[in-house]
Amino acid sequence: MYKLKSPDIHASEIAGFLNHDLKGEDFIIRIPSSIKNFQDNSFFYLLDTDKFPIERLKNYKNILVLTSKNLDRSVENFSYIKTNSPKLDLIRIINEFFIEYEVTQIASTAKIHKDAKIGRNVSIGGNTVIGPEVTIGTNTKILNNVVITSRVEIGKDCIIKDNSTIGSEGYDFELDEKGNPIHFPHIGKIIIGNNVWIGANSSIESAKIDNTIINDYVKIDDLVQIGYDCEIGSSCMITAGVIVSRNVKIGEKTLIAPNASIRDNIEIGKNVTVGMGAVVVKNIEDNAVYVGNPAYLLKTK
Amino acid sequence: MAGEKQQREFIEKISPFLREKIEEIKIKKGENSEDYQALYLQYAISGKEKEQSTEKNVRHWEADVDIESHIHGIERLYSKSVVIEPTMVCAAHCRYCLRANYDIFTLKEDELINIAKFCGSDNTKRQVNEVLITGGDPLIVPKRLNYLVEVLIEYAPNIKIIRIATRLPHHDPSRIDNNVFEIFKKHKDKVDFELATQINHPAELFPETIEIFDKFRKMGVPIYSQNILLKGINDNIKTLVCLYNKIREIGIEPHYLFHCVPMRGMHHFRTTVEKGLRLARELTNSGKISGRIKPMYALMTDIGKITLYEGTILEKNKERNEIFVQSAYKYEDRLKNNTNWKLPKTAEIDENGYLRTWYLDGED
Ligand code: SF4
Repeated sequence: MYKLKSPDIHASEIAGFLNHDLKGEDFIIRIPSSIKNFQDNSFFYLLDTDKFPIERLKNYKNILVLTSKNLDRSVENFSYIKTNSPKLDLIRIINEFFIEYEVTQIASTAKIHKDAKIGRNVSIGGNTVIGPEVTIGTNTKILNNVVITSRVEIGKDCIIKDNSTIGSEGYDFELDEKGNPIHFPHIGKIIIGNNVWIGANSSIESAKIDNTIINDYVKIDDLVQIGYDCEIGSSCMITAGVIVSRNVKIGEKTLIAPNASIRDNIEIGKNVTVGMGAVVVKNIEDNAVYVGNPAYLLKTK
Repeated sequence: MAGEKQQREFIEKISPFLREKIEEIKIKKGENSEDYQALYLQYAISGKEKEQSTEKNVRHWEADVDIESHIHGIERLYSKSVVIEPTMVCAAHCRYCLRANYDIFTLKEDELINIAKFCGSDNTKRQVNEVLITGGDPLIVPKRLNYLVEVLIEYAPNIKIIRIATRLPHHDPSRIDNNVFEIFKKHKDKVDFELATQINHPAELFPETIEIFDKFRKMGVPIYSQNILLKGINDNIKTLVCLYNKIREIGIEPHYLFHCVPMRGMHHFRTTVEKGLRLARELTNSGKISGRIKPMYALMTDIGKITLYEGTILEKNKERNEIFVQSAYKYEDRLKNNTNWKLPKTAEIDENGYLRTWYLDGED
């Protein structure tokens, strides 16, 4: 998706970009570093909970610190920018100055149906297959080997990572008179909002008759299964290995930790945290933390 | 947001790329060579900036548009275009910069949306079809710039031409990568882009710089250069002829040749207006440069740009070293374009409603 670059940037440029003052000397920075491993001419963020590693810093030149604290500058080989959101600002700096994005393009090996509606500046990776009833919004990036079939609307500025499958038929069988499972044809839609992230090897099933809805800013990790007819509220984060069965409704800003399983027809509220490996078998109210198997209320937020 | 910043100190800031180039020329051609001086004087801080002089202004003109109280980054002086400054940060500091005394800020996404909405608002859209995105250097924040272009396309479809002003091809060409080129490629079906630059001396045309201009031209982006007449750098006919011939060779269009603006700290760069007129006459009427590369000699006055023609200078006041210049801007139009605009103290309205202003001259 991008490559790291290492430009010569004055620390004062970073301060000007963040609309904050630079405390200390102006110097050139070239690369991000972490609090564990410094490099000369680099920058890192210091959280409130981190101890300022002033002793280690003495061995390096020209380090820029993003921090919400006032730092003692008796050692003068570093400068700092005071900000309320050091980590967020580090992300912004990397995105703006240290990453070169791949050029927007549609790979020659992608198979896009002629009736699919592809918006402006959409990137589509190698071997990706896009069906006839698919609409993709401006600036969305679809990586390699992705399969998008059935009736799917994807908003703008989304990222769909490698090997994911959107719109495969829902797993829905009805037993006939002889007890043999008969598939219910899924004729509903999948509606994906703007700024959604869908991780590698994840699958979102098409809806039975209504819609499977993934709202704006939902971030789905790798290896996640979202069953048919689900609705995932905006800004939810669903991490690796989570299984969401059919017809589950999750409120906005909820976090589901790795490997949790959600039973079908469940409603989970807003701003909920579901712990690692939890098995959710009953509805969850807003602002709660649930853990365990079967999941129980650990605390309210 | 930007409002929390204090007025900046215009520190010496020379990008490592420029430092290397200046050093190279010093070794090759010596400290007294014209090329070395041309680069050194443009970027090295000089004690002369702090000397007492008649140039007192810290802003070149006031044309801020009040979208929300105190929002920075948008100006409107003329009828067809709006000026947007998404960032005031640059990769190097040109010592004669118009915006040397301006606050440093970078606009956030929601501020850019407000600006785009203003550009597409009922009042503005009737007249404005073009924006100049300047700063600062907008190419150093390509993601933010791309966002601005996108929201302009979304909220102000009346904007058909986007001009982007930059010195980054001179300051650090390696920072102009796909992130920048993609902006111009991605949106060219929606708007026409033009790249504005500034080249004051032929020594600034490094091979890496020319390569960048070449890439833009191959993408179909027209490039024009508005240059500044700077004492000790290009205020002689030989240099100007060489500069414009080179600019022509690399396919850049001419725009203004500005007399250096009367602002604090710039006295030592300012020739007389008269000297500039002599040079402009010789440059454009002697057959020494192609007719396709002739610049317009202009002043940045308190009421906006005034191109010098026969009769533009109405009067000289030797005591105050000022000239009185006539514009064809109408006061009533100015107010229509920007209701916040105030007649500067140096200006007046003539009997036909046109603006005239006093302009501080330089010295030879
Ligand atoms: S690049 Fe432009 S805005 Fe920046 S210092 Fe130079 S003249 Fe001023």
